[in-house]
Parts: sequence; C-alpha cells; structure tokens
Amino acid sequence: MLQYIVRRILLMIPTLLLISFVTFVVVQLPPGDYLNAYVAALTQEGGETVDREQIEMLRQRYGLDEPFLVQYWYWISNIVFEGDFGRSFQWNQPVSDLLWGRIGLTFAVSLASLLFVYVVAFPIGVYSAIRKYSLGDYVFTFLGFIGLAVPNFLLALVLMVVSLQVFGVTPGGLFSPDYASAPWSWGKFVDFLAHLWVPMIIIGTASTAALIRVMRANLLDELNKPYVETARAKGQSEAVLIMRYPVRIALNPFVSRLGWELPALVSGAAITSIVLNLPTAGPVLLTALQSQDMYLAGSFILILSTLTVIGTLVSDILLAWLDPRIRYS
Amino acid sequence: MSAMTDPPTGAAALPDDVVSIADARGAEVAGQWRLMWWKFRQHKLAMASGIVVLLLYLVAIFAEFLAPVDPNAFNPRYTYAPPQDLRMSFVDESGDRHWGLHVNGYRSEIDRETFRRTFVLDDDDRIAVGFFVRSDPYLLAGFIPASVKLVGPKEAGQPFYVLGADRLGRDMLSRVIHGARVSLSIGLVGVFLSLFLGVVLGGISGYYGGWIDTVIQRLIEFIRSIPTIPLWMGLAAAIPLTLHPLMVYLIITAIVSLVGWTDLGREVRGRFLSIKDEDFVAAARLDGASEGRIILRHMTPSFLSHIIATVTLAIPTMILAETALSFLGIGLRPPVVSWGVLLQEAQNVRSVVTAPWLMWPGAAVVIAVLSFNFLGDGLRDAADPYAT
Amino acid sequence: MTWHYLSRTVSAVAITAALAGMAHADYSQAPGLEEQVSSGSLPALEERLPATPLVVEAVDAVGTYGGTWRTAMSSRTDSWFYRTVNYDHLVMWNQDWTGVVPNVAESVEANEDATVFTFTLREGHKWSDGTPFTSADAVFAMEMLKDTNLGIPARAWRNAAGWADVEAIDDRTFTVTFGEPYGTFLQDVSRISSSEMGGGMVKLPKHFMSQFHPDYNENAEQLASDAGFDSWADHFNAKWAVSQSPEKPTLSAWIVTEPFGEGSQVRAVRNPYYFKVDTDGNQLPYIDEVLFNVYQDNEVMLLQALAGEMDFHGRHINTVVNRPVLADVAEDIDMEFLRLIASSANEGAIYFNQTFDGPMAEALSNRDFRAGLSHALDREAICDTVFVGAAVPRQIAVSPEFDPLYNEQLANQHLEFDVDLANELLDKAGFSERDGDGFRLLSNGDRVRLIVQVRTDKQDMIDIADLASRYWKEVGVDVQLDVVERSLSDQRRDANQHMLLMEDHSSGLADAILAASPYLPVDDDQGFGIPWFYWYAGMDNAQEPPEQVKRQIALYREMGTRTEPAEQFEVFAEILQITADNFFALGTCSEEVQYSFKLDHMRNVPSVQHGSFAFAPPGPYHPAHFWIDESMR
Repeated sequence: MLQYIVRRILLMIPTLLLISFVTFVVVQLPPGDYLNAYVAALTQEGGETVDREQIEMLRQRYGLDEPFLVQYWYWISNIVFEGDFGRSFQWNQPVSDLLWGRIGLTFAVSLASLLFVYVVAFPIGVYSAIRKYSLGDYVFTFLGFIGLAVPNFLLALVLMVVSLQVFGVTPGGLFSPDYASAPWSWGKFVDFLAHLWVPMIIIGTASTAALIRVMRANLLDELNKPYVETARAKGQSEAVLIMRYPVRIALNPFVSRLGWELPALVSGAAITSIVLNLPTAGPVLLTALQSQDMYLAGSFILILSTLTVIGTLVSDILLAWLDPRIRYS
Repeated sequence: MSAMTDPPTGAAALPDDVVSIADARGAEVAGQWRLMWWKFRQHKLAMASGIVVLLLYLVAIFAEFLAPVDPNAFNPRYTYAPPQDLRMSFVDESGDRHWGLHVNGYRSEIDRETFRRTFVLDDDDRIAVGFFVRSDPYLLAGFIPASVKLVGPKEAGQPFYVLGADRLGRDMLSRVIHGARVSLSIGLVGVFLSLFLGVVLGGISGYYGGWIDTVIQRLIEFIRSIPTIPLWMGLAAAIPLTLHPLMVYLIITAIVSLVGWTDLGREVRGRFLSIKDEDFVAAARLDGASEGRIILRHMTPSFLSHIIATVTLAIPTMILAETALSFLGIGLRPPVVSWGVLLQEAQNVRSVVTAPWLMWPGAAVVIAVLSFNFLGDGLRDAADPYAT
Repeated sequence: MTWHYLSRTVSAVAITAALAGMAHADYSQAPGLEEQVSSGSLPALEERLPATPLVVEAVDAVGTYGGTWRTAMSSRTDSWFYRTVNYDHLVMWNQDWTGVVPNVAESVEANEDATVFTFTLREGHKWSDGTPFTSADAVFAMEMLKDTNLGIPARAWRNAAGWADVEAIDDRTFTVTFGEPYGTFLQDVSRISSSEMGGGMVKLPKHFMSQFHPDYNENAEQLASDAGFDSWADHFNAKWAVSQSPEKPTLSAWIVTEPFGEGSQVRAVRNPYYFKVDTDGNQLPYIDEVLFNVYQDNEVMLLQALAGEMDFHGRHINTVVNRPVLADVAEDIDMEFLRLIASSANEGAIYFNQTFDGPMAEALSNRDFRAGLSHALDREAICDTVFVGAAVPRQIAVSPEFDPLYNEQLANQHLEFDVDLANELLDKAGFSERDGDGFRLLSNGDRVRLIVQVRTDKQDMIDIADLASRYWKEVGVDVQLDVVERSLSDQRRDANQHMLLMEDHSSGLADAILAASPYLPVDDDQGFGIPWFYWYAGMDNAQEPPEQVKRQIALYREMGTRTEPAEQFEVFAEILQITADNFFALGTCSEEVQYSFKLDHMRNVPSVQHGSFAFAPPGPYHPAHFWIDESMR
C-alpha cells in the first residue's frame, strides 16, 4: 500500500509537468497575444485607437515577442523555484494575489455542490436499486435527469429572474454588498452560506443524475451476486444485508469518481459562476482566456489541475482501502 | 462492430447460469441479444424513450419537410411575435361554429417609447392552416427534391408562428426543428469518435495491463485533470476562421469528443480488467485461441451491450456540451442553427422576461437528454439479462 | 444646432467674476468633513479649496449632502468608471458640446499657429492628500507619458511631430509645445483618451508616483520586487492605475478606497480637497460615495437595475434590446429614461477593402459594384428588425443634426432599396455572367463571393450582416460571414487580410473631426484602406493611396493647423465630399435615439445628454454636483 502511494506520487510529477506544458500551449493557441486584446479593449472603451509604437514597446517589455519555449521556461521556472506565478496583465496584479482567494471560494462552492450531489444521489440511488421500476424509482430518477438535462446557464438565469420577480431580490454573487469587501467574520460566513445554496443546487443538479445512475447500476450488479442470495438464505434482515456488503462495494465507483467529479464541477461552476456573478475562479479564468492573459490563465488551470490530480490520488487510495480486492502490482 | 449483427451464441461465451436459463426454455438457446431485448421490453420508460429518440432523429432527417419555413427567414414585422394558438374552429358573429384549422393573425404596432413591437392576436383575422402545403422547392434531407411542407399557412407568406418568433422575426418552430439536426448529429458523431478512441485505448489498457496500462491511465488522468472549459476554449479559438461553418461544426465535435472519450476508455478498461481472469476467457486461452480472437470473439461481445448503453448515455453529454460551447461563444456560428445556438440567443433577461417562448429549444434539449438517458438506462439494465 | 466655439483663449474669467462677491467664509462643506475639521484631522475648508474654485451651475437645484450612488462597471478599463468619477481633465467639454472650457486648469491660451498651449492652474489647488498641485506635476507627468518603459496610452499628447514638450513657467503656469500645429489638441485632451489616461497631466502626482520610478528613487526596483512585481514599471503602472490604487492622491471628486480586483465592488469616497463648489458655495461633491458593483456578465448587471438598485447608469445595459424590460419596471421602481443625442455615423458600416489582394479586388474596387450592393439592401426592413424604430437607414455620414458637417450626398446616396437598379449596376460593373446556382462570376470565372468579417461582441452587427447577406444573395452575390472575436478581428484587419469589414462608429456629430477614420484613412479602425493609413502614419507595409485620398490626407493635415473649429469644419467638409464621391464603404443603420436611465431621486442629471464616446457622458455634466434627494425615495 505504502509502496503504491509512493509510486503514484512519483508518477504525479511528470503528469503535472506535462499538464503545465499543455496548459501553456492551450492558453496560447488562439492567435495574437494579450496586447491585441488590450488594444481592442481600450479602443472599445475610449472610442479611440491606441498608438502602435507604444504597443510594440509594451510587447517587448512583457516579453510577448519571445519564443514560446522561452516564455514557458520563464513561467514554469518561476513557479517551481520561486513560487512566483507571474503577473496578470489584465488585472495589473501579481497572479498569486488574484489566485488564492478565488481558488478557495471555487473549492468551497465545488465541495458544497459535491456534498449536495452525494447527499442527494446516495439515498436515491440505493432506493431505486432496491425498488427497481417502482413509482419512486421513476420519479426520483426523472427528477435527477431533469437536473442533468437543463443547461446550467439557463437554469441560473431563469432562477435569478424568477427570484427578482417573486422575491424582489437578485440572488447573484456570494456575499451581500455589506460583506462583499469585509474581512471574514462569523456574520460574513453566515451571509456566505445564505448565498451558497443557489450555485450549490444549480451546479449540483447537473451531476446528481449521473451518480444516482452509477449507484443504482452498481448496487443492482451486487444484489444479483450469489453471496447476497446466500446471506438472504441465512435469514439476515434485508436492511443489514443490503447495507453491509452490496452498498459498500457499490460505493467504490462513488469514491473513485470523487477525484473526477471535482474538475467537472469546477468547469460546470465556471459557467454558472459567470451567470451568477460569483467571485470564483471560473469568470476570471474565462476573461483571462479571452484576453489571453496567459500567466493568469495558465496558473489558474495549473492549480486546478494539480488539485484534481491530488484529488484523484486521494480517491484511489480511498478506493484501495475500501475494496481490498483491487490489486496494485 | 460486426459483432452486433453476428452475436455469439455458443455457451463458451456465456457463464454457466445463462445456459441453464436457456435450457429451461427448451431446446433453443436464446442468444444474448434476444435476452437483452426481452429484458429491455420490460422497461416501459426505456421503450417509450427509445421511440422518442427515434422520432427525434426522424425530425432531424426530415427537418425541411417538417419546418413550416426557412429557419433563417427574418421578418421585421414579427420580431418577438408571441406564439399563435392552433385552432380547430371558430364561432362567427351569428354564433355559428365553423370548422377549419387556422391561427389568428397579429395586430402590431411599434411602441416608440419602449422600442418594441406590441402584438395583439386578432380574432377576426384567421389564417387558414393546411397540411402538405406547397412551398419553394428544397432538397429533403439534402438530396430529395421536394416542394411541399407538412404544415403551414395555406397562403404562403402569412404569419405562422405556433412557437412564436425570435428577435429577428424568425420562426422558432422551424428553428428548433432545424436545430435538432445539428444537435442530434453532433451527439452521434462525437460519440462515435469517442467510442473509437475509448474502445481502442481502453481495450489495450485493460487487456495488456502493465506499463501500457499505466501510460494510458496517466493519459486519461491527464486529460481529465485539465478543466474542460479552457481546453475547449483554447482549441476552439485555434479553429481557422475562413473554414466553412460545417467544417467548424465537425472540428468542434472532434474537440468535444477528444475530451469525452476518457469516460468510455475507463469503462472499457474496467470491463476488460474484470473479465480478463474469468473462466471463459481462461478457457479460450487454454484452447489456444489467439489474442485477437480472444479479444474480439470472446471478451468484447461479453460487454458490448454495456458499451452500447454507455454510448447512449454519452450522447446527451455531447448535446449539453454543445450548448455550453455556444454559451461561451465558441460554438457554432450563424447561419448554422443548433439548440445550443438557440439557447445562447435566449440567454438574456429580455428573452426570459418578455419572450419566454424563446426557451423552447431548452425543452427540446431536456426531452432529448431525458430520452437518451432513459433509453441508455434501459439498455444498461438489459445488458445484464441474467439479472432478475 | 449651431456650433459656436470658444475664442482662442479659454478662460474662467466669467465664472470668477461671478464669484467675486463671495468671500471664503461663505463656503461650506459636507457635515462629515465639518466634524473632521473640528476634531483637527482635516485642515479648514478655506485651506483645502483653491483660491478660485470652479463654480458649477446646477441643472435642477442646489443639492444636499449625503448618500451613495450605486452603479456598476465591468473591467479595469471600463470607461463608465472614468466618465463618472474621473472626468477631471485640464479642460473639458462644455455641456452643450459646443466647445471646450477650463476645468482643473483655470485658463488656457493657444498661440496663433496652434503649436504652443499655455495652461494656468488654480492658485492653492491641492491633491486629495493636501499636497499642492503645481506645474512640476505636469512636467513630471509628461516625462512619464514619454517613458517607453511604461507605455501609458496618451494619444492626445503627441502628434505627427512627436511628443509634446511641457515646460514650467512658474508654479501655476506651464506650456505645452508641439513641433507641428495641433489644432484639435484641446478637444483631444477633453476626451476620455484611451480610458486609463484621461487627462494625462492630472493623474500622476509627482510626490507620490516618483517614488516608484528609478530616475527619482534608486530603490524603485527593490520596492517593486518587495511588492511582488517583476519590474519597477509594472509596479509603477499598478500604482498609477486609477481604479486600482487607493493610495494614489487624486484631483477628482471621489477617491477610490476599494480598488478594482479585490472584491466584487469598487468604492470611491468624497475627496475633501475637491476644487468645485455650487452656486451657493457648497463644496462638491454632494454624494458621499460612489459604489460600483463589478459584473462580468451584463445580464446580471441588468438584474441589479431592474431591482431598482442602480441610481444612475449609462453603459453596458442601456441597449435597444433591454429597453422594454426596463420600461416594464420603470414605474414600479421610479426610474426614468434620459435621452442621449446619438452620435452614430453608422451602427453597421461595411467597408470594402480597396487594397485587397486577390481575385475579388476587381469587384471590391468597382464603385458600381458597391453602389449595386447598396441598392440591394432593404434598409428600412433591416433597421426596423434590428433596432425596432431606434435607428434609420443612412450611409456612413455625419448626422443632419450637425449642420456644419452634414453632407446630403454622403448620407443618402444609393440608399433606396431597388433590386432592378442593383442588378443593373452589378451587371454594369462587369459581373453579369452567372453560374448554375445563379451567382455572379468574376472575370476569371470564380464566383463573386464576399467574406464579411464581423465581431462576436456586436450582436447588432452580426444581425445586420446576416440580414444583408440574404439580400445580396438575391442579386447573385454569394456571402460568407466570418464572426470573429474582437481582438482577432483587429489583428486580421491590421494585417490587411479582411475582404469586407464591419464596424460601428460614433463620429456622427462634432466628433467626426476627432475620430475621422470612417471618412479617410487617418487611423486603423476602418476597413477600406489599412495600408493607406500606414502610408499616412509612415509605418511599415504601407501602400500609396490614390490621388483623391492623398488630397483628403493633405486637407486633414491642413485642418490640424486651424485652431478655430469653424475653420476646421470648413476644411473637413471638403474631405467629406471626397468621401462621398469615393463611396468606399456603405452604411446601413444610424441610431437616432440612445438612452441612459436613472432613478427619480437622483438629481441634477440632465434629461437630455450628448451620447458620443468622445463626449463621454455624464463626465461633462459635473457628476460631482449630482445629488440624492432623500425626500423622493
């Protein structure tokens, strides 16, 4: 087991390096660079064009005229050796200033959604497996699928409009104006929780159905195994019977998905966050990509990916612990 | 895929208990596919969903025939026109009821204060609606010349907006119908691309194990570790602009499936892993069957049904991915119409508040995604025909 | 509307004369400041105000102090932020946009040939930290603008002969000297000028900013790396950026306390040293603080407005599309619409690249071809569909509202929808041969196929292009739309790769001479002759323009030597006539009405405003004298 963990951790290093490289490539894929986007923004805002010569100067100063590999080396070496993620052109700030607060909120929202998903999906999944083709099975599965089928962005917008028309409040954001820029306090935390449920549900609904289905299918698989019959024949009560082995084994994919679920949630959260105006990573990442703010975009993706890789590792370890049958040779 | 039409019926491919069930049915040995079908038929919701899916594809194929008008034909007089009710009859002033399918025309004026057209449905203005009405010639499904529409105003050019009109006065019904073509095919094409990658790489990974498995698993882990949105955005932004919209469509499909194959890959690998040590595989191996034969004749068929189920479940993901790409403004471009494009156009307060009928494409997405899911669910359950 | 302009000397004499009877003791201040003064944490009002404060005449009434102006912004460089809390340049537009009046500067004087401008500052004018604002700040600022390490956008401060030279005469007087005449200098300084640098001279306090520059502080580099920046220049730029640097002293009415980028808001609070007073001698601003909610998505911003939580706003969401939604709630939330007099040369200008390299050049450069395509468009239908009565058919032209530059031919030629005439002109242009699908052919046998480049961020333009392409196909011209993200569109344009380019332009009123590129190639935001612009600007990849365009450029240079707007317009009218004859581009719709909106309790906001980018409303209407009428809440 220990050997397995060590090996996986060692394997993470080349994976992460590769991720960092591909990330940087992807971020730079669109033609042009940040300054093109900057000039476009200034022209848009000022209704006036920007001096070409000056832009060329800036391009040199930002090192945007350097070859790709030089830029990559500059970026990655600073991260590895100095923990410096570079600078956001667009925000005029060091990337790390922008990064951590938003990453934190992103994970808070994503984890809350994950929690929501699991809390909802687990009992429904178990129920629909045991009462297969019952009315309850159909109703719950149907509801779960509705959540999956409605595009998040539409759901978010409609919910906000409805909330405005019915309750007279706009549920956007993660904080009330009073707390938006206040330091963390109990009051702010409560305020945060009060806002959290909207994105939590919107983001969560998209993944709930998938997990219900997984839980249901796996449990069904287990329930048909001979050992269940044997146990039943031995006169064990149904509840104990189901909870003791089948559910535990059916949980495997549940756990193994944990690591995968996170990046999906972050991606899903990105779109919802834009519509709901959440101060999370998604919207910032999106504008960074659009304006080719490469160090910001690259660093954001790198961090999110790293956390995912770690998440996967953790869930694999959990899995090994849950199901000793899985062999790691 | 040839295995689909040539199912293995030999007991070698099936575990013992199946044989016993088959024996109980008499001399005839029921094939896996027939078992699956029996099982599937029990799942009423899945059956119904299968029919809906079939209908959806028929709509997509015969879009030109079913859509009353050209989905891109605009009309300044009917911007944001609300839906008309399709009526069977009306009562005239003298109280007599007249039968005949019709819709009511609009009375409209421009409100200079609010910059909008206001519409009132005019009960006295009846537009006769008929089936198989003449239209401008078009190519049905792209190659059959035709000049008749399923339904439409008897007098061409009369307003006929049963699902309302969009901001340019385009018919939503026609747009939703035409959108089905792109949205549903993007799912299919994308899934087959994913399937190809997933089965090949997942199969190799699961069967051979060892360092190949490690490499492929790292590749999957790697792809899945990068949040999809930036990956999409980066790749989509790299599409050359001068390409024909259809090429753009294909490339976007490829991008979506490039990210999407990993699910299938893991699924296939898992299946390979779980049956590689099963008795029937060991038996085949002991029989001296070649590796290729073991994989194709013995192992793949045993979980093909699962793969089909997984594929069915992957299609809605593709459809939703297309809407997400459109939302981000990196999806398909006009004049291509897809559900994602339509939803993106409806993604604003103006539409939600004053023209909720623009959300119909959302209903189309929901219906498609739901039916694919239920169908896939049924297939999945049926894929274990020996289960009770 | 007649354009009567300021005399050569822009001066505050009239205003100061009106104030002559007002002694210092007559000034009063906000209650909060009163307390600070009595507690000793703030100097007395008399020491904070300049000797000759600028007196603002109220639009409605003298106001009362207090309240928060809730509004919104979307990015660091959002012009709404600069127009509202930062439009305090040396000089500014007057309110009916008939000229330039002093603002931060007490007066300015131009010499005969418009090469030397002498500014006089207000005696005792102070930055928001109490440090005197002097000519030395202007000299320092000019140094910074010229510093290529910083790359501060500051177009107004250079012309064909290079950067301006700023020289201090004494503490209150400095001169700005150009190598060549620069007749529109004062107009250009009054503009928002590339957002970040509106009024370059007045946003770089020497005593504060010099610490970040190695010429003034040898530890500047160290300071930068301590703060987490790669270079002193990055650090300098971050400290200087108005919306991001709470420490930086300002001359504007509100000081940014919560900068852009930290949370989801930007907050700016009253500057106790602000230099404007109302006619009763009350120091401005009236409003305590301005609160910008930061939105990435305009739809959420719209929801804030619909909830009645936006006191006054005039950007991002004041679109034709949103008008009905706002109108529906207007009564419930006590909102009213303000009319913006639109400066709209065109909302969908379609440029034909005259320097296109390829077989299509033969069609693009043919005037009959362009005229034919113009007649093929049913603009009434297009404009009604896209703008629902808010726009009218027009070519790219100055609006009839603006007499001095209105040109009937430019505005209305080839405007009528006439398919027969269109076909006749296209045939006459030499494209009468057609292929099996009915599309016209070039002389080499290729299909006549237009590729129209449109930007993703402009749904109006995409719609116009979409509709136009259907009309063009009717007359046998094939069309493909390339809908491209803005910066990419710009890059392709700059590389002269576009065939047809769609843009929208203000430049429909007095701003035509300041943003003249729709009419002649003196800038890059047009699509008919990018290499010609390079020729004009002496850049690489230039192509020599044809004679009539060279004539336009010569006239444009001549215009630059005139200081009187009336004379400038006279010369520019000649340029416009050549534009009309060339007809390198066709227009579609010109917006007639634009709007912004405010809640009823927001007072002193004029109900009719000029709407151009160059004018940058509400800046010239003194946002400092807007006030919140609690009795109307």
